[in-house]
Amino acid sequence: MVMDAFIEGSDGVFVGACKRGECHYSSGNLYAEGKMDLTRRLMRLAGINAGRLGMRMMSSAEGNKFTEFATAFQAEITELGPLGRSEGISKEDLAIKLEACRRALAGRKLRWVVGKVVEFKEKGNLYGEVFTEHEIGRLLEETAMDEYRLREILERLKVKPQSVKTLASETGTPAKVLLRQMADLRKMGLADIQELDGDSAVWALAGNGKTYE
Amino acid sequence: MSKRKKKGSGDSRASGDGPRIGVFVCNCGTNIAGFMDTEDVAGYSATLPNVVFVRENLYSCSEAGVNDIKQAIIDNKLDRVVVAACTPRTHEPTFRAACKDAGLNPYHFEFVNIREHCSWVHKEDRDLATLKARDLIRMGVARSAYLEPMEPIIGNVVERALVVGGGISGMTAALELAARGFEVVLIERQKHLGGLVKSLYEIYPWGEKAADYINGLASRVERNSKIRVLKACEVTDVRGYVGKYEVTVSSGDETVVAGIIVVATGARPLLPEGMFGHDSRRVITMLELEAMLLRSRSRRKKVVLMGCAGARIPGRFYCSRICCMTAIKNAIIMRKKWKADVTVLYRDLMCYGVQNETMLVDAKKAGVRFINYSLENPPVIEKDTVTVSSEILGRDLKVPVDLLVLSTPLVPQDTNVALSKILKVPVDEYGFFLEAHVKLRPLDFATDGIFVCGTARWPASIRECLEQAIGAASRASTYLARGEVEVEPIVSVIDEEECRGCGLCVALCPYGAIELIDTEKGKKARTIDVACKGCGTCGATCYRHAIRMKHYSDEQLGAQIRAAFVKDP
Amino acid sequence: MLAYSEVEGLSRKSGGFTLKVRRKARYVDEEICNACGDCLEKCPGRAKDTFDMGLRQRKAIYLYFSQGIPAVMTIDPEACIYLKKGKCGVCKKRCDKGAIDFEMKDEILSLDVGSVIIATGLDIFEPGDLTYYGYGKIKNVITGLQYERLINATGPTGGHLYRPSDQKLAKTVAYVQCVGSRDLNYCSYCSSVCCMCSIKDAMLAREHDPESVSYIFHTDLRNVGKGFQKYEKRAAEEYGVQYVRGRVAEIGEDDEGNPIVLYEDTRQRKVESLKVEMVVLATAATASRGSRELAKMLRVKADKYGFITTRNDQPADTNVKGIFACGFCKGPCDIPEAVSQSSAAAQRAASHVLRSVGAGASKA
Repeated sequence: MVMDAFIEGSDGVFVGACKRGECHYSSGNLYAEGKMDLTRRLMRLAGINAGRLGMRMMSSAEGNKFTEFATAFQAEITELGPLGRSEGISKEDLAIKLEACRRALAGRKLRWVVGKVVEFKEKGNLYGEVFTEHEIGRLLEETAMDEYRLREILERLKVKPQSVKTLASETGTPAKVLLRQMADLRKMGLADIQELDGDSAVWALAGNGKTYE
Repeated sequence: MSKRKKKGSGDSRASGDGPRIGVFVCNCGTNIAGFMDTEDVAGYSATLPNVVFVRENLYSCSEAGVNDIKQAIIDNKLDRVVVAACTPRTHEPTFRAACKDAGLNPYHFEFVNIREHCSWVHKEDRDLATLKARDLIRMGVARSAYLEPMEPIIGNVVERALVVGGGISGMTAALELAARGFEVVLIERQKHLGGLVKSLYEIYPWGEKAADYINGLASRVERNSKIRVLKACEVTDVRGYVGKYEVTVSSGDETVVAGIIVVATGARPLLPEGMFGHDSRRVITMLELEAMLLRSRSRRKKVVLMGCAGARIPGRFYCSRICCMTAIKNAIIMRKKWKADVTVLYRDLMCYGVQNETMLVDAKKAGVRFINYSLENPPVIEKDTVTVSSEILGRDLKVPVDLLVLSTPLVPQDTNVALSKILKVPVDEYGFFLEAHVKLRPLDFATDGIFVCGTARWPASIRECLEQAIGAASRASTYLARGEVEVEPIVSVIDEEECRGCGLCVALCPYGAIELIDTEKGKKARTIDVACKGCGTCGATCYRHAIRMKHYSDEQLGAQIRAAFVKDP
Repeated sequence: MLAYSEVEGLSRKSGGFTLKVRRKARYVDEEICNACGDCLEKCPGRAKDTFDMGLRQRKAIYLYFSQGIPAVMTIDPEACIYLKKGKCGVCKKRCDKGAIDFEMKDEILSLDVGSVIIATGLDIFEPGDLTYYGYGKIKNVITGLQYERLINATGPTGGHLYRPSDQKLAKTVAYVQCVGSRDLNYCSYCSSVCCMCSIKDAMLAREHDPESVSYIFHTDLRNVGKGFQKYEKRAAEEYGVQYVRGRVAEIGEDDEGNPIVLYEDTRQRKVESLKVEMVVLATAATASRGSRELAKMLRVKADKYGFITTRNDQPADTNVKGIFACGFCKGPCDIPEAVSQSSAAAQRAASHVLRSVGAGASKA
């Protein structure tokens, strides 16, 4: 939903939540916080200013705080200007990046991981190992990075087939890393080499129209 | 103020088979109309997709306004109603009922708040308020098109109560519930009923011996044919929901089935280990003093009672509410019984109300000495003296002492956190149970059918514990007497085709409202409608997108978000 | 629901009570009136607005307060020119629904009930007798409840702290605690709620005006409820509320109408004075007027202050079987306590009625 708002043209999204321990739905605000944290990670990976997604916690009795937060956020976003401009991202690129973020967030992998995080923190994993905040952060970051890159590649290939070299320059990912990812995509049956253009391969979405969920 | 009423714009915009939406713009007297151009807002609403009828009301919630809505639904065959007025908190039920009366499903109603969210916050800028109201209504109209009809969920209530804790609060609640004719199961962790009060000496202001009172109460509980007492027994697991909680207890493999649960687990005084030279002989706690008073004789002649020992300090910032009164009560008793010199060291004397303040005056008359101290300069405790830096006198006072009594605060039971997880109810930062609303719903949890009373909630005097226990019994009987519960159908729905039975939603649901069931196609998650609060945690988590929230579906919210960014002409 | 009505007598009958209730004439038909306000516009009668603590005037026909239940107008017979002199009737002409009825008479109802719950609440101590605080003489010395009306958006100043003497925005406000409370000459008990109330009021002032400064003159700060200590601290740290431990001896006034507070600072052990722009007196809360008469009528015990006495072991029960009490009428209490007590009274009343019904059934 947050990404939908950005895609529909919002320059900033403000999420207001209850204070920790005061959530009407017990711990919903903490889950929301986790999700927003992940969303910000993806925005950073996409080169979008994560400050455009604000989250503040306040109680229902703190109307003044809400005004304060909302006014300050409004000012920050106005200062940043339209989405993409302060980031130096073109309109077309922005659409691709936002869609990649949206798909990564809606994708099974990240939803699974973020859902499991709470359990990991409290009960440990299958083997009873409890993770520290730092370990979880790293786990999330790595998964998010992987997911985001895959999604962005897929989005870009959707626009037109291209070589690893051009993909690397467009996504800002080192060609080496990219190559490994292309191999993954190929294994998953999502992308394949379409033709050879001189000495470099041109990649395209796999023909059977399979989607990555 | 003049009444401006606009004729509905007829059905000129009815577009084939689309929904027929009616928009009602409330002026709320001048509360809304005073800060925006409602006529413009109404006119704009008429241009929105699928809107076939618009009306402006002076007060939509008034009888006239409500009748207007009903008539419009019938006359214009409306199938969605959007009211742009105030907060759903007060009037959503009013308008839902109006829809129902006019033959429309009450959940085909959408509330847009243009007062608290708009006119009241933009009092300085009329044009801005008008524009924002247009935005808000456009969003509401967009969502309303996707609303679905729903029916309330009805669940049965087992006519049995479970009371956790057999102290003064738990026993009182059990007796009150039994008096209303309901079966009660009372669980006590210790081998005996009685709780903290059992170890006290006299109860102020009745002068009654605490043990006499509590033993009388316990025998009434034990004799009551409606009450079953399980002693040396704890709650180990709770499943189910309001009307039918299935409670596993530690005594054996028995499961108690109860319609409601009352939490009355009490609190305990802080043990001042390593604080203020506590040695249980010359430096004792207030509870140890009560025991000394029970043994009657003592040769102690120089008693100092120190308040806020371990309370109202960083890390345990709260006031324990009852310690001042306990200290003053015992000071008077020691003056009379032991003829001792008694000094009370205090930070603030919390003798709220009539009886407490009266007792304070009595204590002063009886010759109890009161010395104020501050957090910054706590009393210095030596073998035979306590040195207090008196703020009022501006100098140090040396008070001779042969018995120092520490008023330590009541602290939550160590088991509260575990129990709160089992019951899926919250505790506050200190570990006291956290009620649904600190002011208006002190005895309810946010979870339906679970109640709290006594010192499990917050330190309280015996009188307050009794009041809360009887009150909690009252709250509980509203469910038990009715025999059934009606729950809002705003719940999650799980698509069994998509569900892989991973159990993530079951683990995360804060209300225990999802269960895994065995089907022909393997394990599947299913929502227990009566227990679901519609919070959406499961829906946001399911990695297969197999869970949708009724009334807050992705389509409905998506439509609202998209409408937010439609350019206003 | 019988609003604008008073109990005038009670008699016992088998299985319960018969209550005599006076339903006072509103001179407005409750069934017809929808509180549209047309009648207000031209009404020439004036009276003190009691809901606004006398800070402004209202018409003779009035709505006690907005959002009140039932939402119907009432004519004040003391202020209505028609009812006093038989001339006027403007409201009747203005009301196109025909809700005005000058012929309406008080009605005496006889109600058979199984049980009675007393919940008559509190009234505020009138601080005029405490001449040293200047209430009634110094315009900018007001009571806590008057302050609540000033700071309220629906109040006479629309929520701005315009002080009574010159309608200037009051930026420094002193709160005087225990006015009438803990005072052996007046109410020797502690009213329980005033400490928190003053802190809340001081915080509200800061929310309305970031430059506002408040001083709270107190003895013991009795903030014993859930979360109250934190609230007290937050007020000092985030809202600029200054706590001064000391009783106020006297309040004077300078030429500009600014109150001068003369007080003994017990922490500094000095007599000091402080000029402020407004003083709020945290007046004692008393049993509501008429509670003694009510107690007598119902034959329930009350203490010397007029608070209803209840049993120690059954704190909702009075000495009369079937009559229960809850809330401030029993003695000072905060909202959550009042709510708990009301649940308790409902429980006891329900048990009592069910028992009487059961007993009646077994007899029959």
